[in-house]
Amino acid sequence: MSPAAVVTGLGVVAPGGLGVERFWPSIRDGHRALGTLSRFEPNPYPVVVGGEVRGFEQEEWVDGRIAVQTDRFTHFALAAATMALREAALVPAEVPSFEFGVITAGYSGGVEFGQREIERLWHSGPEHVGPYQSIAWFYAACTGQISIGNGLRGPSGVLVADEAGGLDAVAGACSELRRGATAMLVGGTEAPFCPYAICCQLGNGLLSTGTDPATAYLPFTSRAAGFAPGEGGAMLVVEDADAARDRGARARAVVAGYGATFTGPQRFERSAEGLARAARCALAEAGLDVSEVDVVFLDALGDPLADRAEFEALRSLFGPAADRVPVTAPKTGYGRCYAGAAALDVAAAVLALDHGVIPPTPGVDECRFDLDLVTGPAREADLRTALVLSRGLYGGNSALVLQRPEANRGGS
Amino acid sequence: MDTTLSPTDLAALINRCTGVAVTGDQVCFSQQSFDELGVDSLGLMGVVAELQRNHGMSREVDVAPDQSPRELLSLLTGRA
Amino acid sequence: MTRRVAVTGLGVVAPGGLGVKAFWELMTSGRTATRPITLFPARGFRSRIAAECDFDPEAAGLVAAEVDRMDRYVQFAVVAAREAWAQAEIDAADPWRVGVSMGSAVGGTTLLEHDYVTTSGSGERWLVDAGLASRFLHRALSPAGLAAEVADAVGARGPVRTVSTGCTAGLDAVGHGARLIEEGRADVVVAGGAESPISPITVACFDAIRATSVRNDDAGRAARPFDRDRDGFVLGEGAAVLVLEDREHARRRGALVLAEVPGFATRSNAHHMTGLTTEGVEMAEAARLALHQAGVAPADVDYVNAHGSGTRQNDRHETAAFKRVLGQRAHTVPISSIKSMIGHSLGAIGAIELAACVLALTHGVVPPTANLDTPDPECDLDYVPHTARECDLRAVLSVGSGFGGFQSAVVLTHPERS
Repeated sequence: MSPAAVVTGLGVVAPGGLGVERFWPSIRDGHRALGTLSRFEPNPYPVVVGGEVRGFEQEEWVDGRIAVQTDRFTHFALAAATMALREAALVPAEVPSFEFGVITAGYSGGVEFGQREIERLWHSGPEHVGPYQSIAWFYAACTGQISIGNGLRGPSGVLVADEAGGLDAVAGACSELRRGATAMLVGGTEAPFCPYAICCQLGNGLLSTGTDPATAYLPFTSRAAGFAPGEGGAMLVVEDADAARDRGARARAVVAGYGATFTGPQRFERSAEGLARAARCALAEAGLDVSEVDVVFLDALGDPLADRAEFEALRSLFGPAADRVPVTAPKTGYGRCYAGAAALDVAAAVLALDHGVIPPTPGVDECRFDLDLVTGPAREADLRTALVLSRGLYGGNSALVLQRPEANRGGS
Repeated sequence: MDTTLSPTDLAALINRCTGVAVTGDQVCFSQQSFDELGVDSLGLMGVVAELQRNHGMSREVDVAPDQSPRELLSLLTGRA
Repeated sequence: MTRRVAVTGLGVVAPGGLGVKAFWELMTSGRTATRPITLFPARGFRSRIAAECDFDPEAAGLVAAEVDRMDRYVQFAVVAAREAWAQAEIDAADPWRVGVSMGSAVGGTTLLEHDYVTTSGSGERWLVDAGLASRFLHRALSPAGLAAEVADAVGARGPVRTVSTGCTAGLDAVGHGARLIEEGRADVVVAGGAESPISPITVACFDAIRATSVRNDDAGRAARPFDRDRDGFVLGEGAAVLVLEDREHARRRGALVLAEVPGFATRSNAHHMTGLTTEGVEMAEAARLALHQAGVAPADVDYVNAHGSGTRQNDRHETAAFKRVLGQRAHTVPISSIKSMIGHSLGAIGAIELAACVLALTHGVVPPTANLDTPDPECDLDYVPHTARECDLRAVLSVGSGFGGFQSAVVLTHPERS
């Protein structure tokens, strides 16, 4: 990509903390935010451990009129968007409205709202379905509400591809910036903890059924037995680099390269090649040699086959140096938030580049592969280039390259 | 089916359905339309639907956003 | 140099007939495929009509394992994708350079609702019984399975994505698919949309906001875009797939180019999730940008495929948008809405409409707006009432509008248009 896109603001709603000021210390310090799911009780399902967002006061972030017509996943998105704009010190009205759009990535949509409405339908009759079902459950709800709430008339989009979609959305935002947009809000949020949503997720066979939050989600270890799901996500402000400079905004990171492939739902062995190719494509676009990668943020599905495939991808990518490139998965501390996971990984990568510190992989103390997995305390490092990897449950493999602004030389 | 909805009850129903805080006094005395109060078209449809389902309001009745809660109350209690 | 995007294959599953041939026959006939709902017992619902596909999965070529695994909308998409792929005759493409971009607004609603009934005991249990879920329910939670199945059907390993921008998803998916090629991320992209929303929850949610027609006793004449007596849209289902290809890639292998896709843009009205203003400013802007990218002046637009959903507000909004973007030309260009014939299939219809545009360019025929008996005085443009019309078409504009405020536009041109 031409060096046109910079991240200028981050908004985070995560089990590990609300806002960057809480999220960064929590991942830097390897804080464990996984717990026993409590959104509904009793919990009759075998998935017991997850990452829930604590202390989120909906009234603080969402106007009452909007709250009734939206699901929790949209409340998170609205909050994260507001936080990102604040962090970027960007007032939407100061950008020509046709040049400011929003792209969100999703997976389960407004499923809790939807379950309430469909229950009314089947329990009491069709006339009991309310007027907001048509706008609250569908996957486009977050983009729509963020656009309306902030007066953004620019190019907007919605991608659904589980975690990989989060990176695809960032690339989509950069594409719009190259095509005339000045600023984009981009990211993804998830709220998959209602009974019917859990019922659906169980079928993918990848959720951890561990009952101890300390051991339920341990990717890359010999005890890996699936992932712990999470709720929440992040929104980023991504701007045209020149426009950001003109208004005196601080560029936190450059979005330098992107690649995406498809190898099929849960075909983990094949995902090794898919992930490696996506990463190579991203690096080529960034004009970087693989040896310039300073840290990798991992997909970390936690399934033994998936973990092995990710290791194979790294080995294919880095060759003999694979055991010396720091790799990490902060999401073991708060759960895998589906489409929100990639947005959180990008936020974590931007923060890592900013601080020169690699957040660890909480709870994981051994790695069964020959990798430099950052565990224990955070690691200080001279970070210039971060590679983020994401696989989607539906078979997508995506990669994103982020760089510290001063390190970026401009790509192809 | 309860058709004796007090102004305060109607206010609470509007609040619950639309997220807009309306008081019993406003329902009784204010001329402000739903539009002016910030109740959007979808919200109003929800209010009307609830009144039709649970409070005996006729299904032939239609309420427009430029009407007021006060008018709605009188439609409901038949004192139009 | 920007790469140009060609269309080399087309596949359609629409109400009224399976396959491109049956679809085009319906489009030019002016007949409608809207009828009383048969897919579920619709007594008790406000709107009881829809445009349904008479779809036999086995007759359409799906094997038992596919029927078992795929939700209805995915079945539509895979059948359409196979038709399009077969037409394109791509024998040897690097799979890593083949991508997929599919749109769907409500994805796996059919399966989600079906299994909801079973697991909840028809709404008796909030804590649904997961043991009663069907084997593939997990795929239905997100529409992402749509693009994945299409990717497997054609052997794609490049960028594969599902776009879910509500009612513009089909249009946007094709537009974004074209961009993947322009940006050099793929040489071939299988792009389109699919939807099977005719299920109680979807019908009920549109009932609740009175968006759908209640002309239940006269289903065939219920979808009446731009007509004075229109009373909402008629829900539809279906799928369409276009094989998009780098024009140079197509030329080198001697492929038949059906059309080009030189322009795509999307903007938002940022006004209301469902409400539209009367001015059409944002739709006009999306159209203006798409036309500009395509190098097509308003005077050179030969046909406009409208969103034309048939709601009172949409058709007014759109008329204003056309006047705004096309100026004088708005009053002479033929404009039609095929939703009059096949209903509004949400995330699929944008792609189905693009398929109709490709066929219009190929055959030099503009499909009509059915049921346009008494034009609304506020919709005072040439909306091609009742009868298909022969026209020399070089450049076509297709627009869409959707819940959430999405306003999209795609421009298609005849392959011989210089």
